Amino acid sequence: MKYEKKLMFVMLWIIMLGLFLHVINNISDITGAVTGVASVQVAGITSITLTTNNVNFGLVDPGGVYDTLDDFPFPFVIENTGNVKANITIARSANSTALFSGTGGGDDTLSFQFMPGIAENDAYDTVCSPSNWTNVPGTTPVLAVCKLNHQTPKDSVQIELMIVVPLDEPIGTKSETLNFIGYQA
Amino acid sequence: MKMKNKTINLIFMLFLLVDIVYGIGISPSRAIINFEPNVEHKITYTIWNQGDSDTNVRVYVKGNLNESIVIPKESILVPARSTVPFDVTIKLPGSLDVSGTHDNRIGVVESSVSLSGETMIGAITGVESQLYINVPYSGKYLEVTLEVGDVIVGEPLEFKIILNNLGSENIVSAKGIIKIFDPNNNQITSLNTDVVSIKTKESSEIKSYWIPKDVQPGNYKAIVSVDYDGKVAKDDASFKLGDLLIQILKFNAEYVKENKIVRFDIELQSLWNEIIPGVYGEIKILDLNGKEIDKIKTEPLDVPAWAKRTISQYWPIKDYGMYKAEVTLNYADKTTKSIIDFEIKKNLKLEPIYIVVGLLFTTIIILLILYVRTIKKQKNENK
Repeated sequence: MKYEKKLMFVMLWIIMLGLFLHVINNISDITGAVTGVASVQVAGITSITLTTNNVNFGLVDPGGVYDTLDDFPFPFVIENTGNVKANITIARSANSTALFSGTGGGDDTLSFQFMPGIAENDAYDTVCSPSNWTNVPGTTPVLAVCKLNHQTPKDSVQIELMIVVPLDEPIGTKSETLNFIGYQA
Repeated sequence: MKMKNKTINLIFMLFLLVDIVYGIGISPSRAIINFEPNVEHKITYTIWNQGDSDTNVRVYVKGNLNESIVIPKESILVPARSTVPFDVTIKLPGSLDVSGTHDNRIGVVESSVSLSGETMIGAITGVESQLYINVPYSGKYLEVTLEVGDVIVGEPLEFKIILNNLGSENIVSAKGIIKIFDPNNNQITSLNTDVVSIKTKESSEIKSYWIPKDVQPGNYKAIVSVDYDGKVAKDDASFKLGDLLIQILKFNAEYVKENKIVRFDIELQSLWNEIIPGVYGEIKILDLNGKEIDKIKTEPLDVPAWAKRTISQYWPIKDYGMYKAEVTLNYADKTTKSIIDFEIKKNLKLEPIYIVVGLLFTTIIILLILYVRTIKKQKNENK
C-alpha cells in the first residue's frame, strides 16, 4: 500500500511536469505582437519545370527567319508539376538585354515572337491563350499559356519561338533570357 | 498540422515521380486572409527545387500591401531536388480603404542561366503564390465566379458557380440563372440553379448541368446572374463545344515570279478538343473547264486542340493563265474542302540588252526626225 501511494505520487509529478513543459513550449512561440487566427485556405502547390533551359538557333543570317516549329532547334517544353491549374507568363529577364539591337529589333517587336505550340491533348485553355505568334515583351510579363493542366499525361506544352534577324544586326553572339512565371489559375 | 504534413508528403511524392531538369515550385499556391486591423499573420511557405543542381532562389513580394509583407531574406539557397521552408509575416495595417480582394504575391525565381552559343535563348522558371487579403464590404456583398470547361457536342456540360460572401452581413437566399449564348450571340437556353444561403466571410458552390444537343460546334458564352437578398451579382465565361472538324479559314495562292512557283497557304482551325494528328492537304490544280492539270500534297501536321495553323505547299508552274485550285484537308477519316480561282501573269523581265536596243532605236528615230526637218528647212531656204 505504501509503495502504491509512492508510485501514484511519482506518476502525478511526472504528469504535472509534462503539463508544465507543454505550457512553456507554447509560451515560447509568443512574440509580443497581436496575433490573429488566419483563415488560410491551403490550395496546393504551384510548380513548373522546363526540360531544357536554352534554345540555340546557331549561326543565323541577317534577314533570316528561324523558328522551332520543325523542332530544330527544339522549343521549350513547360510542364505543370503542381497540383493546381497554372497560368504561365513570359517576359524578358531583367538581367538580360533584348535579343537583337538592329532596325526592327528590341523588346515587343516582330524580331522575336512566341506562341504555345504542340500540347498534350487538352493540356491548356486555348481560348485565353495566344493562338498565333505574339511578340516577346520586355520585362512586363504577358500571358503565354492559360490554365495549363496538372494531370498527367496532359500537363505540358511547347513554347515555340520565331526570330527574324534584322538586316543591319551587328555581328556577334546574341542572347536573351526569358522568365517563365507560373501562378495558380 | 495535418494539412502541412499532407502538403510536404505530396511534394516528395511528386519529387519521386517526376523526371525533371529545371524547375521550381511553391506551396501553398494560394492563401486567403480576411482583413482585420493591426492583426499579424504568419504563413510558412515551402520552395521546391526540382532541378538537378543547387540553386540560389530570389524571393520577392508583389502587390499593394508589399510593405506589410515581410520575407526573411531575398535570396535562399535550395539544394538540388530538395525543399526549403521559409516564414512570411503579414502585419496588416489599421485600415484599408478599398474593399474587395487585394491580390499580393510571394514569388520565387531561379537564379540566371549561363548561355554560350551563337544565337541563344535562355529560360529560367519562377512561381508565385497568391496572397489574397479580403477586405469585407459593408452590408451584403456577393462575389460570383462562373467556371465552365469545354466539351464535345452531346456530352454533359458542368457549370460551377462559386459564391463568396465578401460582405459584413449573412446572405439568406442566393439563386442564379445561367443564360447560354451561341457564337452569333443569340440566347439558346437558360438554366435555373438551386437556392443557397451563405454566412459572412464564407463561400458556397452551386453546380448546374446542360447537355448540348442540336447545336453547332464553336465558341459559346454563358452569363450567370445571381439574385441575393434583393441584389444582383454577375459573371460570365466562354466555353467551346467541339466536333471532330477542321475549318479552312483562308486558302490563297501567290505567284512567286523569281522561282516560277505558286505558293499555296491554307489557314485552318481545329474545332476538336484533342490533338488531331497527321492533317494534310491535297491540292488539285484545274483549268477553267475543271480539267485536272496537276495534284500536290502538303506535309502531314499535328494540330493541337482548337489551334489555328497555316500549312503551305509550292507548285512549279507549267504555263501562264487562269486556274482553279481545290484543296481537300484529310484528317481522321474526314475531309474539308475549299476552292479558289487564281491567275498567273506573264512578267516581262527588263534585260539590259532590251534597254540598250530600245535606247538605240529611240536615238535613230530622233536622228531621223531631225534629218528630215533639216532637209525640209534647206529645201525651203533654196526656194
